[in-house]
Amino acid sequence: MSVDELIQSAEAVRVVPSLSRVLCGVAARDITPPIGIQSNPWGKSESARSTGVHHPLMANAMVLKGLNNDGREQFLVTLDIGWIGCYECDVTNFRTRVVNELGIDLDDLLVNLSQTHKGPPFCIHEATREGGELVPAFIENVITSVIAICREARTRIAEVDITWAYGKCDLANVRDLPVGETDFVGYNPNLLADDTLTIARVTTLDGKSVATLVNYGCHPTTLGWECDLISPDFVGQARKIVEEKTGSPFFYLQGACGNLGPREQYVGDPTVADRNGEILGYATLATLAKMFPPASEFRLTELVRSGADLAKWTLAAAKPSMIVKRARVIVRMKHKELLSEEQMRANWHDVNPRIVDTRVQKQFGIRFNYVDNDHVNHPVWLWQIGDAIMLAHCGEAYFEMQQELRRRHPERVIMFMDMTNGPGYVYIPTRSAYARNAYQSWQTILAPGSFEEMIEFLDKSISSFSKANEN
Amino acid sequence: MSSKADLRPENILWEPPTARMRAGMAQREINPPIGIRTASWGAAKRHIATGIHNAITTTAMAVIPEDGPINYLVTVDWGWWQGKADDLAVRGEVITALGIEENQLMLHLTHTHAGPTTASDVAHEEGGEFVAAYHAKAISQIVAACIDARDRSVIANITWAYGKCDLAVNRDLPCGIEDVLAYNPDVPADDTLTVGRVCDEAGTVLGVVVNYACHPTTLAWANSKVSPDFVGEARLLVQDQVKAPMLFLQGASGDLSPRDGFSGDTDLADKNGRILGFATLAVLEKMLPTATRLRFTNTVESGALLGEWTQEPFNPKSSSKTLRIDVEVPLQKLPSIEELEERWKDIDAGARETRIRRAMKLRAGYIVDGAATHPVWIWMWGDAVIVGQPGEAYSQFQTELRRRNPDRVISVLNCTNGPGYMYIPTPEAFERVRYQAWQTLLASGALELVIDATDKAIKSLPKN
Repeated sequence: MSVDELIQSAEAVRVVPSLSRVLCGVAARDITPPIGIQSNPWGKSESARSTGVHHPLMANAMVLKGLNNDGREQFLVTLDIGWIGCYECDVTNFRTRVVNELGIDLDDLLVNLSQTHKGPPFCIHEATREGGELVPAFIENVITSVIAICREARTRIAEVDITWAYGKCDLANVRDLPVGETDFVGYNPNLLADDTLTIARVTTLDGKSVATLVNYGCHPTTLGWECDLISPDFVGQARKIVEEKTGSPFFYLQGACGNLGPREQYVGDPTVADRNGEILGYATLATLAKMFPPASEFRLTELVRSGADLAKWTLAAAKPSMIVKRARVIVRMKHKELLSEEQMRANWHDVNPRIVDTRVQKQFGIRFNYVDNDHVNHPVWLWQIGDAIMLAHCGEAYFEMQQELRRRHPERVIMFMDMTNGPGYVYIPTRSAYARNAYQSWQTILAPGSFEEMIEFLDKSISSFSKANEN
Repeated sequence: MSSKADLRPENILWEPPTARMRAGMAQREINPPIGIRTASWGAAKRHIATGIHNAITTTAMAVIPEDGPINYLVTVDWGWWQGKADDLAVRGEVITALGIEENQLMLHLTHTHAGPTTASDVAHEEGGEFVAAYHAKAISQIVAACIDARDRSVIANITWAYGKCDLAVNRDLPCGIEDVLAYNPDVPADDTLTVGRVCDEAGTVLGVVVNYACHPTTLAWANSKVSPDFVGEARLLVQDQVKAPMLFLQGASGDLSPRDGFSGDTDLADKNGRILGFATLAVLEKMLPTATRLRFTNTVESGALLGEWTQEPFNPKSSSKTLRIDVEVPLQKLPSIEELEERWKDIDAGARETRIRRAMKLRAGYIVDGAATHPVWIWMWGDAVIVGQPGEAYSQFQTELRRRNPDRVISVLNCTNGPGYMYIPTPEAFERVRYQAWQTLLASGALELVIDATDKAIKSLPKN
């Protein structure tokens, strides 16, 4: 057999990472609010007023555009903000205004919230506690900043290479801890968490870093009620470490995190958040170090008879995919019997009334324009950027959802984003979480079995969406 | 239930794996002279060093248990022993100089393929004239590092953790009926990274032990610089952060290597080192402060039912034990020199000579009366176990020992002491025409016997 024939008979001769070549621009802005603003959302906190800043809160924007499509722009925005949880404050007052200013469709904008638990509310109706008077101006500043950075990103648009890769990070742990007959939200050392870290490295055609997208599922709940600082939680230090190395903006995209949190959490000490951030930051740098150079693939090129029979892989230029497209799908899922306010208050009669108020308000805020008779309409956005898929929705899915979708679609990198756009401000727990009466299962309005139905639906959606390329 | 404040999970304590013992660490540089013989690669055109990429070092850890003699865990940035005579020419001298018994020392090679030769019988070869003097210098530095580590030893708490690193990939790539050594993207690799952080009682880091399985074969025949390969950059990155020595221990990497390798480019070795270095730093960041555990202290009714874990000090275990086992292993029918010449008649003469010389040196001192036993050293420090053996075991050795013993953190070392400097492949490897299966003297089934015997020895260790 000739060497060439032998090479061709190898079980694998080529490895092509998920690649994209598109037009892209990025911009970032500090959106840290004034000290004194309400920023302690914990039911347990004595006062919600902030007394200082741990790390700045950031807004990042990226515009993406295909090189050879009709020139439609798609905007990805990340915010160091907790949640919105209210249709009016999310869709009506915020995103509709942004897309009108930019002259794009509502589906051309994805806004992912990091879910820090140390920032001001972004829903005006939650601005009810100490420091709440500063919230309206903060919200206004964030909205105008988002519009400004999207425009700025637009002015910087240029051809880039994006390389997508999976790495590993074990910051996150399962946070459903059986305590007696129910589950509490706390570190469970007995269960394995999803450790998948998904990275997109965006570089100019001459290899300079433009941005790093980091998709990872973990509740930013290091800092609890005893901390009265404004903070992006672990995201702050992770960003610092990575940006120092790359010199370009770090976009944190919260992944499926319904049942994931850091091992050390609910603390008052911001250095613990920094340590958690270092776990994520160093894991990101390790993954970046492993990536192939931009627009490269790996080919088996040479067989060498040395002390052993060696085969050599070498880098070769690859042809990145130039596809940029998007779709929105609606997952129809059954909801539970919805309780009236009286029923909720009766159920929680032994809980502090202020905490009950928070719970009741959350329950009603999530139903608007979402509940449709006995079902909900749960929107999910699918973006294809080159070979990779970004899948975004507003819920907080249990991590098994991203794990399963990635397992079923090994041929492409999938970024799975929770906390993105609305409505659908609900936990999406597994059937077993309902059986354990976990917090997530009684907070959500979805009926048991929704999680499993959503996986099946999204699996098919991904297949048909990516197949449509071939046309 | 009217109040949930008293609810508690089944286990209210979570303790990281730890050990408390007298320990010290020290490191020395042992760079060879330029021009020294290297000779790791049959395919290389010349076999001498033309420069130094990153420093070649030796790192020693001295451990003095409460009720036993001192033990030394020593690592050297060299490749592998070709035979027992080479091994004893160094290890034997170190044992004598320290005045200890053989089993008190694990002398480990990090397995760089860009190191100076370890052979003591190459004075007549190109670059061989430097070897004797260099080995003598290295021996004195290894001994000095051991003495330093011993003299600096203090009561230390060692915290252990498993982390993850995906530098390594599977390197058995089927090509027709043969397998070649190359990245196989279809087979997942063991990504376990084992880290021990050694601190004094005040919490100052005295050193970091890193155990990871990956052939240091980034640098290959096109490289002529001396280098610890990826271990060098990983060590620089970690040491820069912790300000203390990092002791690297090569794991069971018979079937594992970096994806990007067989290169002449030292930048690529540094890049691979960053994957390991940053992953190590991430594991260190996740560790609790020294001698600290978590106690479930409180249930809190906030927006959700929250459970609080709080850090508290505790006394790590100080139990320890050392064992050595010698496992009877099956041998292949061994070919004669003539048969080997016939087998490799079609390949380049230099490569053929390398293969035959290696085959013969391997046998000396290992095969006695047609039979062989494979030595394994097993050291227990508190919750941790260090398993060292001279072969190049497949990664199943470590994954299986860890799977069977989840209550302990296990470091698994290839290339430690001797004799038995050969591959220990899985039975599947013997079914294919694969380098590891024809390099080794062992027959199919050896790996399972070594795993079972080591597992049994681990299970015989005192329970914590």
